[in-house]
Amino acid sequence: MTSKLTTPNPRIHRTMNPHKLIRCALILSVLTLLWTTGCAPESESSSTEATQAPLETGISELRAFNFNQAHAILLEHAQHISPENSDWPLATYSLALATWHQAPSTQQGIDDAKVLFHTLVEKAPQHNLAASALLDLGRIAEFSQADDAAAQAQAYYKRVQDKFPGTEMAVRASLLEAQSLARSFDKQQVKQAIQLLEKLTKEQAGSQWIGTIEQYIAHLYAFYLDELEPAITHYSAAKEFGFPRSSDTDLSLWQLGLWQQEVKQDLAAAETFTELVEEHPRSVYGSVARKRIIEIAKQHPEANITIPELAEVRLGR
Amino acid sequence: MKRFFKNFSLNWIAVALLLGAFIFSAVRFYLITDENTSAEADAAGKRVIRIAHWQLEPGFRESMQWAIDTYNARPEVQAANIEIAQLALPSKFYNQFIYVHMISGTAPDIAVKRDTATIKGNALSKFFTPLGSYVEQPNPYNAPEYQVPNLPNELSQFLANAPWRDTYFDGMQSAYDPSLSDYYTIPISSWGGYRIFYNLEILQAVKSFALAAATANDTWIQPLWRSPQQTEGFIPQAAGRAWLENDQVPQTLGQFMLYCQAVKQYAEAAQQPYLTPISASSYGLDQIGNIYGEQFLSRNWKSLSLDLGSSLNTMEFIAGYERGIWDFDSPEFLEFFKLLKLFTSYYPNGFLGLDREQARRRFVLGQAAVYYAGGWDASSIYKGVNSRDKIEDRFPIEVAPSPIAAPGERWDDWIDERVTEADAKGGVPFAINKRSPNFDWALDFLQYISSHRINEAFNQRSEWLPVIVGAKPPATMQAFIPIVQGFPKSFILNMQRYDAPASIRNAYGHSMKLYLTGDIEAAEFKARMAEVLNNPKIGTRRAWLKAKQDAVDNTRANDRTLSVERLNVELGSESAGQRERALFYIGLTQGEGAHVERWWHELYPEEEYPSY
Repeated sequence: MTSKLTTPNPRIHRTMNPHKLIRCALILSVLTLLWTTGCAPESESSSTEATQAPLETGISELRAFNFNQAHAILLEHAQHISPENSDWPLATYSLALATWHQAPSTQQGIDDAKVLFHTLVEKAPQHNLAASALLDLGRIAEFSQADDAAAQAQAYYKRVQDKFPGTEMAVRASLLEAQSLARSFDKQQVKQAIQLLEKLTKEQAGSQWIGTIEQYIAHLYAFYLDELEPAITHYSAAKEFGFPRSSDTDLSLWQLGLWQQEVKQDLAAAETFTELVEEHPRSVYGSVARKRIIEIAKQHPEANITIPELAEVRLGR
Repeated sequence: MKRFFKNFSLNWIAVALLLGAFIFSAVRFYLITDENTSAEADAAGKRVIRIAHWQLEPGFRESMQWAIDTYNARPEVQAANIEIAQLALPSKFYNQFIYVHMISGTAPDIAVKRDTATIKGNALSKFFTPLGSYVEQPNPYNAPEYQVPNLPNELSQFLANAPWRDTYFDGMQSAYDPSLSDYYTIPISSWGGYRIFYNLEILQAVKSFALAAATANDTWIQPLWRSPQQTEGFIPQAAGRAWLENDQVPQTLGQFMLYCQAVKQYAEAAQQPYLTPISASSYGLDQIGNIYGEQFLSRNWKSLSLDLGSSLNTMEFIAGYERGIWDFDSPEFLEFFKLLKLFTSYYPNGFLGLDREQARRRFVLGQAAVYYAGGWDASSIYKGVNSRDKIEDRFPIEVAPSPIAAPGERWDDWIDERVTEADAKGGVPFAINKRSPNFDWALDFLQYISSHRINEAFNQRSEWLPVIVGAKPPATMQAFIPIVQGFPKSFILNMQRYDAPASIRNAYGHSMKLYLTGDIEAAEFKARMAEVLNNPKIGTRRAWLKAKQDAVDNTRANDRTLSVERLNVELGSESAGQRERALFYIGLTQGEGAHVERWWHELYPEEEYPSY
């Protein structure tokens, strides 16, 4: 018995060839997979693809963050469109974005995207998407490990400011340049960044970006220069124009109120906290803000501060 | 034939079994997929719209089925040959099921969105349909003809005309994804906060017992009275006695501690070895002692903050340790440890070996005076108690918030407020599969179940909190209505936050278990944590590295979304502009870890940022 188990039997050995069994199992697996995949309900996107133009389909995939699908579609489409075609800038830019962001991210993909962005800038230099491409090239430069990454990025941002003055692309470029300067943590460069942005607030008085610019200036003053008073001025301006992260307005008001208290602007802080309690009844900062209003009211009885009530959660009728 | 059998290898049986198993599982996979996922109309022209969730608590499925049945019976639904069908899955494999099918394009039409690493950030928009444009419109099922009769006129008008979003008690905040600046889900229930369940029969018996002990000045009760000479006591004698004389559940922390100690003595005197003051388990969230850590460990929020007024970041807590702002022998930790030790003595022996279900059952069986649980457990607890075989085994329950210390009680300097529940939001967030061929009907059903009348009736049946303004909550859930007073969670120094390095989280969790079981003392706890935190490879320096790497990864994701939003702006989308500016601002302030680099530069100006 023992010998039967331990001595190799040529016949058994032949029939139990593990390679054959594994091959057989693999074939079955693949067949099963193909069959079940084929049986799965057809997705809606495949049916719509056939009816949409490739550029529209590619952009639609891009807008749904399906970068790999977008890349495949737009790459195929790019071979059939010449720079003379009015859709070419959009097609090239979309392909560049898809190439840059497709997963997994590779250096080759980034290099290919850079070529596409450069081609767009070269062949359609006045197009708004060329400005966008320069911003993207700036971002790619910032991500690179090069020693002069910041200088390279800043050069791209300056090109946008020079070639597209007064546009929203130039606003984005100025903000990115300011960020790049601030990240040196050198106080002079931070001040340079603030000057750049303060100039921008004058040039872009009616822009939707004003709230963003003002809040970022406040951020730079408060956390890079430790100067809360000018920070409060710009933060208050951002509040007037609308904070860029409107869903976090309560947090922004909480921050503004704390800064005001830090520099002894207690009454202004009480106003800010009151706005937080009254306008944002679902805020987690409401209760702590109200406690601060009560403290301020005790310290400044002459101000006759009205203590706002917290809105309770009400269900039922 | 004989020869055939002689030459026949048994291995062929194995091959045949293998083949059979493959065919069986393939057929089963197809059938289940076909049955449970979104699909076009069947041969009879009927479209079945699947709605998947993982709420297996008693009452929820039945209530959902009620809503489905009433919807399916609607004439226009029948005329369209539509049928909604429920798919309730265990939570353990809900994620795998949904996301595998999402990726393969075969997921149910409607599914509860669950936060996972697979589906966060812009991945959400890959799988689910944004609903922003729909939630801005009134919910058609809130029109007067669908409303509960005789609603107050103001409420009736509001429901009929307000945007769907505004009919939610939380303004549909939980449905909003700030990173994508759009609404992706339709919540249908809420459960409020955690509360304490009291067995009132035990309460009355124990209070009588303790009052007698107080009158007789028994030795066990004397150390519980707090006085200038006895600072380890919990409550001033007069206040404690006054509470024992009334029939209220504990309203303050001092009364609660007195009660727990009294239950222990009562169990001993009444020879009820299985009766414990508090039922708890390894689940953790039912260990009421843990929640008091929130109060002790939130006191330093301002000195820990490196960007005053921003939400506290994990790195700021950890940098606080490096800066010497706190340590494990700081007063807040020492007092927290003392309180935890006491609470542990009120839990059942070996509670870390019990699971959540066992802890709940102990309370239902009358073997624990107190149980700490969320609103989603309320229905199970009430049903469990009320369905006990012997009527005499059933007992009345009262639900109350966790008590805070009254002036003069122990820890009154520390535990004077709770964490706010002001941001309590709608739960069970249903999202519509982006690839569903039945989007309009899926949306219609979600409008139906989140309409005032149906949402009220649905939650009355499931015994959860409704999410629509003016909808009546079930009587059993009144105690779970969120309490807005308190401080935000972001103030709490939490060593186990998901973004802390695993080495620190694990060391804290492991050491805490050993402390709770009495295997180590506070000094040993501190030594163990110091060993990890000061280790350059796994400690605070590692945390700096991780914080930067996480920020860099987030920047990549943020940039991908930003690129697309900028393209959307160029293509004329008005709403994309607001989203782009919100994302842009995050990039400016936190991009590439600018904030953590700045903190490092401020704290260690002479040192290079840690690197691998």
